Amino acid sequence: MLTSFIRLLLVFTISANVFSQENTITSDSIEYKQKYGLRVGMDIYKLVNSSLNNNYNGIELNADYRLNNKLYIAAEIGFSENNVIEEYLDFTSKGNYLKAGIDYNMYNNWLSMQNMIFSGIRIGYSKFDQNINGYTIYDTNNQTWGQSFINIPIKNTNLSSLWIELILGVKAELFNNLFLGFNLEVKKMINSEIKNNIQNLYVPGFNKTHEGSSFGVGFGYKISYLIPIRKK
Amino acid sequence: MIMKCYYPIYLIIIVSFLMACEKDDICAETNPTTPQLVITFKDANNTTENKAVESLGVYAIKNNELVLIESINGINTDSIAIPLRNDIEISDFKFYKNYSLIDGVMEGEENHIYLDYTTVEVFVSRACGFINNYIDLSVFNYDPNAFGTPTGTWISGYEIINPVVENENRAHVNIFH
Repeated sequence: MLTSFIRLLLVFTISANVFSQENTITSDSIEYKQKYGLRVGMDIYKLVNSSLNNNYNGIELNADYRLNNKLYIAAEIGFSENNVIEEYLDFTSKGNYLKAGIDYNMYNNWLSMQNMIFSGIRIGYSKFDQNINGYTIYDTNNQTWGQSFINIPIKNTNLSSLWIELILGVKAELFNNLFLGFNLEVKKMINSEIKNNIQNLYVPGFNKTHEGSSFGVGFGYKISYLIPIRKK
Repeated sequence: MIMKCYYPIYLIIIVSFLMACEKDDICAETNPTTPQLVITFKDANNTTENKAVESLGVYAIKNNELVLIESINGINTDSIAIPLRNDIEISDFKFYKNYSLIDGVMEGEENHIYLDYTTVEVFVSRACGFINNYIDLSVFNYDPNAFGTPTGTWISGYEIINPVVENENRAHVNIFH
């Protein structure tokens, strides 16, 4: 958590530097045009996490397309395989997800700059498997017989979940057409299909679920490249 | 302008931190646990009447080793709760009447009790995982898997009144003596 917080600070620092050029400007009569196009990218945190963490494998690609000065249609597609080992439970959640929606740029750029402080909304859908690999029977009276670990897997396949997601984030243009961004996500589960009365503990794209609450959280640390199509 | 826009972001950061360390990571003691088997002792001559056993001691036999159930170590009682074995679907007990253990010398009248059942795992939560329930409960005074001959001294009979062990609210087995 601390490392992700440091990363977050890093992005804000970078973004703040870029944005702080704002006050050096006086207006002039030259008309600057904004670039419109398709921006494609990927989540670099998930990429790094996949290579460092033996229990996680995931990738997320993202794209947005600018509709007008403020609005972008945006989507993410991803895959994740996550093995979680709790005190009494060892499970793996594996599957694909798609999120689609819009981003709204709240930041007023000057000249031809294209930085964003944005809020977004997404509908998310995931199709996944959740396998219980093994578990220790929870028994507070186990002094007599001892703990017993069961390693017969319980496979729940073809599960699906649907959720809605609010996003807040920044995107800063580091170099020409290359963007670095950070965003936070708050999710609310709409529908999560379960099997064998076992809660869906981790949903790809939604992340960890919480008992007695339909909310979830997440973040993204994204690099993306704008393919300019037109200027206006 | 910038500060104003960041304000909701700080809010979300705080929410994220709060959710990162919330309660359902720890299995609380208030959670349901695997139920024990509840046995009531009845009078063999008057099967509706409870009858206490004098100095009852109960041992679990695990891989030919005797393990005393700490709470049943020579008590006078007409009902007990005993844990069932979770790794296999049979539990082997020795019930002692007039039990005593003095300087490692065990005395009393012994009676073998075998309980045979099917375990059913029940999901509780992320933190607690699964508990077991037991169904298709049956009772023997010999090992049903070893062609044993009936043994027994002080117990005259059994009755299963509830073959499904989901809770400890009422007795599952009556033992007559």
